[in-house]
Amino acid sequence: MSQDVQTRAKARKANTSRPGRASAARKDRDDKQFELLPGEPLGRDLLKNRFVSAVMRSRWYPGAFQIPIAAVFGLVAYQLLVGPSKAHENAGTALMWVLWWPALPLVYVLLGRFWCAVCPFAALSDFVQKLVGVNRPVPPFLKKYGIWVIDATFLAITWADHVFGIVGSPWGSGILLLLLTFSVIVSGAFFQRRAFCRYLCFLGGLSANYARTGMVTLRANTDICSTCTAKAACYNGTDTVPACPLSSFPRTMEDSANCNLCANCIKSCPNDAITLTVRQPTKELWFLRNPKIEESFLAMAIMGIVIIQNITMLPIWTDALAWVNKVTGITSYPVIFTALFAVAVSIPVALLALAAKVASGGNLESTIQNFARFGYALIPLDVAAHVAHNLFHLLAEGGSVFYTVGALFGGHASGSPALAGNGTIQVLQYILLALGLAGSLYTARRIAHRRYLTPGRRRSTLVPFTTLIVVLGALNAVMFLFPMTHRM
Amino acid sequence: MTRKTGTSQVVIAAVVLAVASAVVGLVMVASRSSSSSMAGMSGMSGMDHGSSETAVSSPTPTDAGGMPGMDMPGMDSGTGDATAGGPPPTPSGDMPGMDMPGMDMPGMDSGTGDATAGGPPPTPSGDMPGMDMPGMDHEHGDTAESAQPRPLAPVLGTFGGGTSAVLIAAGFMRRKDRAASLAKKATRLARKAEK
Repeated sequence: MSQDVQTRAKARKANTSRPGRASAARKDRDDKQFELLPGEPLGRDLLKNRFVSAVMRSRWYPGAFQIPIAAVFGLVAYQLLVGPSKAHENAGTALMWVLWWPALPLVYVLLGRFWCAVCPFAALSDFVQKLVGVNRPVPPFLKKYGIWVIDATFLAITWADHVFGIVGSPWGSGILLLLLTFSVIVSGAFFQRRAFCRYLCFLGGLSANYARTGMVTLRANTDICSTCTAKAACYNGTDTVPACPLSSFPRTMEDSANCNLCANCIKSCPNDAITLTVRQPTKELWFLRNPKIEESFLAMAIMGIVIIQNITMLPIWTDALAWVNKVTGITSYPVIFTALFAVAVSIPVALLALAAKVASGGNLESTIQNFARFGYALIPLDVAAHVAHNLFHLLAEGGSVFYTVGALFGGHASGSPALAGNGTIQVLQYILLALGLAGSLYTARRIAHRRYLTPGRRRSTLVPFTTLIVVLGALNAVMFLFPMTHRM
Repeated sequence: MTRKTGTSQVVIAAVVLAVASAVVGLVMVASRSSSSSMAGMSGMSGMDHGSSETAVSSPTPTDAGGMPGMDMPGMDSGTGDATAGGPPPTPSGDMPGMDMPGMDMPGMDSGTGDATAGGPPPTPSGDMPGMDMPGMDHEHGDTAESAQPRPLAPVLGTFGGGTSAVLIAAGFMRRKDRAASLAKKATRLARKAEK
């Protein structure tokens, strides 16, 4: 009897240990193969085109864009602070929230972080630095936890928008601009380069994530760089060209998250080793080597923000508020909103964590590794949902930009602010969502196929993440069915 | 040591200046808001209620089914009982799902009561009687700011004061850094000369 028990125990041990050993061996093999895989292949170099090369190497780039944009932002700030107090009469609100904000994600998809090169806040930071800059190194805390600060800031601003009123209130938007300006001045005065843009700007965090789907990428030719004797001029700058504002070293740069296409490295490289290439959208996500959990978290938080932004514009929102009020007896809107906001933001994060947990059972990586790696696969859907949401504002309210700006110059034109009909907008929204969904599914597939050799590991990874992507895509699709309210 | 003390003195002075300007700004904001709420109490001036037609034609939140126990100070039940200090009253009830894109005319206040998207005037107060929403108003794209004067001077004063403090502090620190590096260079040169 006791022998039988021992035999059974041994058999059980053998049964459990065999797959363990096999899976460990499989994991080792996959890990080794993954280490050896080459990075993202580069396409045709745009800098070989004489016009593009001339523009990027010109001393007027990006200043020629910065100056008019800074002038428009000055007008926006003036309008927000002292212009009409009603949002739908205020040119600042129209320019900022109906034109600029919806157009921004589109710019990220097309040109990566190009906006950051021409951003007036960046220009202000450079100016302050020249004037009084102390150029202290960025504190290690910011380097380590900056992206978490960005995550928190993004959530806080969205929350404040609903509770205190920012988007629909010119004064609220003006205060936000002043706070941002002050932060930029502090950062520019005390820290090196554009510390604010890289480590603190909530828009910078968003753009860093979205730029990974961008169609333009800047890299260095490492073969040429290996023979370079210019002491990292591309990073440190030269006597005539400033250093890289986002502290990126082109030779080791693997993603576009911290490249704003300012072209400083192009101008300062004595060997013409920098390349500027066009690629398929989302391509960078397929070749990620070192995924970071905070960036995945930001991607999911943005998904949650898009969901809550959509929900608050739908009729169901009032029902949800009434329900919470009925169940809890709480009458304070900020408290109820905070609770619902926390739930809405937590749902995508929790769903990703759940999918990561399920996948970890089959692909032999930890839940955290899965969370970090496959959070990036959601970025295309994130971008699509964000653009689709903003497309409504751009097309349904875009006319208000003409009317309000025209009114500044004495014009009295009026009419419907809609640039397109409801049906057209909805069709475009669904096309965008479909593209985002396809992009996310394809990205998840590419990541899984690149990371894992065995079909079993790939399948057990893809099933939960594909399900998650489809669920989030469907959730967005349902929300775009309903009529939304206007921003202005 | 002397340099460090000097730098910290400058930083402390700058922080004190910034905090002082912030406090002054806050005091001014507080005094302004209290005076404006008094004005609002006396005549309810500046309280933008949306067009009266809308208020009549669309059901008020109370009509639509008031929620017991939701009476809060400063809240707007749609029946005109706005109290001072709270957001402007919003008589027009919001009809969920009635906000049709393309129906919004700039410069024309339809008073449809649609809350802005993701924006400050979210729907609740009109839809949910008793829901207290700071900064919210149901008139189209309209917010509490239309009813209250903007505390521009204190806010800009605080911003200007804070910014000046930062710039002055940074300027002093840079001067000290440069002086220190020059002193270092001079010492190095002197040592070399001695050798």
